[in-house]
Amino acid sequence: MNLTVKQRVGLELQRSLRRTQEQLHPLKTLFWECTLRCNMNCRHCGSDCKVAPAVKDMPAEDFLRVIDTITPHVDPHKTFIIFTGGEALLRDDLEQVGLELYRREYPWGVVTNGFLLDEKRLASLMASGMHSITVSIDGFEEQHNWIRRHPQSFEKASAAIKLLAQQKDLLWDVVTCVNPRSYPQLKEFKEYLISLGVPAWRLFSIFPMGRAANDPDLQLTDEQYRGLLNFIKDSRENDPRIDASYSCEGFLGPYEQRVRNHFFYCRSGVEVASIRCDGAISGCTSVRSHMDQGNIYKDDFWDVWQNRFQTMRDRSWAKKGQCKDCKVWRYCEGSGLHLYDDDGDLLVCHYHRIKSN
Amino acid sequence: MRIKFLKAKNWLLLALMGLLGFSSCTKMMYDCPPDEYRGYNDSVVDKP
Repeated sequence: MNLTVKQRVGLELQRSLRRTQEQLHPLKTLFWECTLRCNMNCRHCGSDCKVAPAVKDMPAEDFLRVIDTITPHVDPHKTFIIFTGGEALLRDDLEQVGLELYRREYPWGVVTNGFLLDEKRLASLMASGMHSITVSIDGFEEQHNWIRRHPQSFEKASAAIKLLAQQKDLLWDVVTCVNPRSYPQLKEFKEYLISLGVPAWRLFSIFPMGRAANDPDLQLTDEQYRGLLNFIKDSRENDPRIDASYSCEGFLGPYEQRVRNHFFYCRSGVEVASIRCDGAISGCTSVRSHMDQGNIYKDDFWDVWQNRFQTMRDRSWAKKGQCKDCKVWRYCEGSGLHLYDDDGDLLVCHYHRIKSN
Repeated sequence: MRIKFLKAKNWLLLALMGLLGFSSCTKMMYDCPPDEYRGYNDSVVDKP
């Protein structure tokens, strides 16, 4: 399977679009890593977070102070703020922060493992203006509890999803990290999610970072990886009951626009920023700390966003190693930044995985 | 002026992509914000 003429035309347009976006760098998404505390101990955790982490939760007023410096420069209606962690719902002041964002007219959302999302908590989040919520569930009970290392995690995540399915006026979806244990049951698991009322399902493959870096059992083989993409492609073409899509990572060659609603383009530092628990300013939260661009306790966030981030907006430095002579470089530009190690080397190339037969 | 030009170019590229049937927005919740702010939730108790 090769790129079609139509795909190439679209990719060229996307490339031009990316160039203008790099110059405009509109801040569309801001992640707040509001805690590194977590009530689980997931095998695939990219944050490598802990029950009692070394970094304390960022005080809410510190984050809101940054928001107030950003507000004059952005249209709050077009800047989406996402609370992530750790497990964001472990913070009991999340609703207060959310309400403050709501008053400033920012849409905001939460990414959660669902463990603490009961009826009361959901009502209180909704009453604080929550706009969206994402629940992680990685497979059926056996696979999910294995990867989460918690015996009740599946039951709680399923209960949270059932609650969300009853809500109106809320944007929500489910994310699944596909691994060799859950891969064989993808079809059945999709039926399960549909039975719970899930409208949208994002599927990830686990990238070698955090704890997953040292666990080869979590990585799909190249054949399984292609199988995952074919599964999503087939679902999108033939099953309107659920909007399945692949995550944002990596250029996928012939699968472009077939497994996602959009062409690949790493938005980290171009449209997406994050404020980590320790105050670090970065692009996407999954990008390693050596790419941090500043710190809210030392720098002005907006000044950093406007004047730094060059390494994320100009990816020419990534044209090395396996990317140096790659024929799809112009469309990929070095894949997702979260796939780079501390030395700035690409850990995994999805395009090569697809091409390897 | 430069910003206006870039925004116009952006708009044209998006329009062209749309005409060719390509989506440029991810429609994923935290990769791309909603095209339009969906307004306030009716359930919010403390409206601004």
